[in-house]
This record gives sequence, C-alpha cells and structure tokens, in this order.
Amino acid sequence: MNNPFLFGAFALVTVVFFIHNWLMSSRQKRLEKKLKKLKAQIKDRP
Amino acid sequence: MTTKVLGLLAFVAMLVALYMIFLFAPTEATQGNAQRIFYIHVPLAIVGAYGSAILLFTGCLAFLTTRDFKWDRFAACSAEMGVVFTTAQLLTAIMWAKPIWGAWYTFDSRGTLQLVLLLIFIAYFMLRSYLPDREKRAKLCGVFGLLGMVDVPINYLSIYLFRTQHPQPVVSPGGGGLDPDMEKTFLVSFIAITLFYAYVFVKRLRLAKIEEEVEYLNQVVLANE
Repeated sequence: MNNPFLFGAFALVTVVFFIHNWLMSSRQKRLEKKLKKLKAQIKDRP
Repeated sequence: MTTKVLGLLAFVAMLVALYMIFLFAPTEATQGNAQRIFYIHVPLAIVGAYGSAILLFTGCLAFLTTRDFKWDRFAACSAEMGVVFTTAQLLTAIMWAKPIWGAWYTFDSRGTLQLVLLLIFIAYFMLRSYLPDREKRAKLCGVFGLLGMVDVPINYLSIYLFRTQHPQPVVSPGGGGLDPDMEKTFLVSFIAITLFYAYVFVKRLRLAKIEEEVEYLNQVVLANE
C-alpha cells in the first residue's frame, strides 16, 4: 500500500475540499456579521 | 437540519468508502495500488464535473425561461462546485497518470476536454465578475452556461469517438466491468462522493442566499442615504 501517488491523490483532494470549505465558512461568517450590521442600521433609522 | 443530516451521512459514507478503498478492494494485477485512485477519480468526474455542468445548464435554462433570480443563484453555485470538483478530479488524474503512463499529463482528448470544462466553469465566473448589472449578468451568464454544456457530451463520448490514451470504458456502456469486490467499493465510493457533493452544494446555496440578502440591504441603505 506504500504508493506515494495514491496517498498524494487523496491528500490533494482533501486539500482542495478543505480550502474550499474554509473559504466558504469564512465568507459566511463575514457576511452574517455584515447582515447583522445592515439590519441594525435600517432599524435605527427614524 | 438538512445540511447537518447530509454532512453526517457524507462523513459516515466517506469513512466506509476509505475503508473499502484501502483495505477491502483487491489490488489490481497490472496497475497495482495506483488503480485505487479510480474509486475517487470516476465519481468525482461523473458527479463533480458532469453533474455540475448539468446543474449549471439546468439553472441557466430555468433562469432564461422563468427570469427568476433564484435560478441564476443556483447556476452560479453549480459553476463553483464545478471548479472545485473538476480541479480535484484533474489532480487525481495526474497522480494516476505519472506512475501508469510515465507522464503527469498528456494532451489526449478526454484529458483536454476535461480541462476545457474546468476553464468553462472559470470563464463563467470571469464573465459574472465583469458585469455589475444584475439582470444583464444573469442573462449573459445564462447563455454562456447553456453553451458550456456543449463540452459534456463530446467529453463523455471522446473515448468512443477518438483514438485516446485514456483507459477504455470500465463501468460505462460497453465497458469490461469490474471484479465484484471492486464493484462494491466503487458503488460505496460513488454514494459517498454524491452525498458529499449534495452537502457542499446545499451549504453553498445557503451562502448565496445570504450574499443576495446583504446585496439587497446594502442597496436599501444606500438609497436612503
């Protein structure tokens, strides 16, 4: 089972999905913060 | 709730698939352990690349016929999934090609058309970012998404139509078939990748909805200033 290409393939796939998931999660957090701020801004308006 | 259930199912299926790929499936006689890459490469191609292209096509067609922006959002999410999954699939392809063919990449028809598919997904995003007007962007990207689908049938049939270095069909029609244990492993792997795809897609759709809400509220605030 000691095939570097086999483990390389699985490692690369994991890295791709990890990066995508990380980017998606950080974007979601940022947007949720912004959404809260915008909602508060609209609510505070006379 | 749906996302959590999907995530849990995908995680369990992934664990079972990994066990089957590394410990259960027999070693192929000619390719050795490098053949095990096949169990993720093929599902990534079918679900990830072709599936995303079909979803993109569906989203674009639905938008152009209904003019409902939720379909534009759906198409954009499909294209992003296409970029991620096709990249992963092409990486597994080069990791398999090096020990088997002796080269990381050869410009054979299937590989090149798959690369073209990835470039179509990327080009879709480039087009989106160049167009600030929402309606114009959705319309033009819709047309582009429809045209992008042209690659998929040619890509799929390329191993039947052209002389190619890519392995001949194994699980596709006219293929030689698999050993029963390999077939079980492939099936579990396919289910695991499909569940994972569904999980990420649902998550991405949710994020797209938040993006749209932020854009709308931003406009409301700017209009009142």
